[in-house]
Amino acid sequence: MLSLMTILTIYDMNASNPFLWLLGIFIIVGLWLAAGYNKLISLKNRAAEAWSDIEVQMKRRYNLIPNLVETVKGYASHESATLEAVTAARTAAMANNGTPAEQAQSENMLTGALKSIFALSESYPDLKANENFLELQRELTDTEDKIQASRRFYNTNVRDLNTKIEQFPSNIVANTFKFEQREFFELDESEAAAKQPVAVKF
Amino acid sequence: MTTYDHISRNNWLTASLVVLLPVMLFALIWTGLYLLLIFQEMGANSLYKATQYTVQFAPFIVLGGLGWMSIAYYFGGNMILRSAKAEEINKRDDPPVYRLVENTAIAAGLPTPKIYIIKDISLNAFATGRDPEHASIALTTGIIKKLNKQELEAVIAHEMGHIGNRDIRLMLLIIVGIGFFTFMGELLFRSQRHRSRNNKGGGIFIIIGLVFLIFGYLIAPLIRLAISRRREYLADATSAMITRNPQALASALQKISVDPRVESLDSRPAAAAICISDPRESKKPKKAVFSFFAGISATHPSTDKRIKALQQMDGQN
Repeated sequence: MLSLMTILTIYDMNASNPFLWLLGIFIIVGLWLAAGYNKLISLKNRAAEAWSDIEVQMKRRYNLIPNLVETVKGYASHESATLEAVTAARTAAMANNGTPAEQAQSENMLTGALKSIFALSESYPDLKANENFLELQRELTDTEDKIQASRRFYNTNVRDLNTKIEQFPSNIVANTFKFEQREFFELDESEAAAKQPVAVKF
Repeated sequence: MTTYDHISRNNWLTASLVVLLPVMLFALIWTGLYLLLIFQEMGANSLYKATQYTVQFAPFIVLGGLGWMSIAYYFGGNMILRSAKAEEINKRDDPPVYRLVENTAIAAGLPTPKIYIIKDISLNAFATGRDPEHASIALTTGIIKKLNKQELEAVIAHEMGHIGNRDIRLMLLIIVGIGFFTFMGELLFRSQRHRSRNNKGGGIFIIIGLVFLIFGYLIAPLIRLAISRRREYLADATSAMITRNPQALASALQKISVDPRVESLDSRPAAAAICISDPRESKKPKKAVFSFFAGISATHPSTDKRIKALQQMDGQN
């Protein structure tokens, strides 16, 4: 009882103290800022992680291409122009560390170049029947599906992050701590290269 | 309600379930004892005695309840898969299906679950496990054969929704946790029924067994019903978000509704709650003698309603 009396007395003495009121408000605002900040950080990290998932799949594709080029060379050595185009597109895509939009462009170039390899395989029945080539074709198709899948996941996370940055009141926190919106990763929604082999006659 | 709200709600429900189970056990045992004492002695102090016995039982009740929940948590997924006669496959067994699951998992931002096949020509699928890292997806051979790639992807994405939303853990604990009551009830009831009537201890067990059975067959299904329907809509929505193709899930549901009956799940009505479509032939649960799982009625919203919701989504996206 005594302690309760003491607390009440202290409260009585300070209830009219504007400094304590201010302190209380500051604490509440501080907690709110911290919560908003942490939410933004986790969204930002989630988007970054999703981006690295895309990179994993892009790397997997880069690693498959030299094998493909070697296999095709064995059957269609005089198609060197197409093969060089693929190798060049791969090198360009690997060297590209720009914004998602820039990277999307070089990835699209690579997808197009790969398409032309699968198109030329139509005129080489031996190549088309090669088990190694078929396996590589399946792997590349699958990798492109995986790039599309991880792209969707990335874009979902980017949308969440960007929405939070723009929405009131979290935009106040975002502006104070200079959170930046991320770019979406937009690839051509074309079907994967090997799915629709174009019958090209030379 | 966003997905993240749903996840935290699920976590909260799961935690309260773990607390609730021993509490319900106490309440049930106390009720059983109280009723028994009233009938036997007509004494004024049966309230006191029932409480006294319950307190004496307390360590066993708590240990039993927690032990069972741990078993459910760690082995429940495998128990359900085994009871559905599902067999695990790896990439070499069926590369297209494996890749489809792998890709859907990437789009959902989840680790690739283990993949199980149920040899049954009907169309159904379910997911189970304690968390996304220990999750499994089971598909019937029929659903793999009869759906096209987009539809199958939508179904897998629906199951990914259950995994990502942490529905699987909650349903696991509910199914196996509540199964505990019917299991114990049958065990107690049957082990004592044939013994001598004069045996006082036997009477206690019969009464407690009866109370457990009543709970397992009447109250528990209500809990399960209350929890499971809304989840289906949400998993459908998650599927649409992952595949960006709600129409594919709608047509998949249409095809599934023609023949969702999985024979290995006929006597396991509880497992029905986690399937994409109710796998039981008739809505009346069969009364299995040693049934782990309790009977329930409809656990899923109707296919028509789900398809309608998906079509509305398509209009908005």
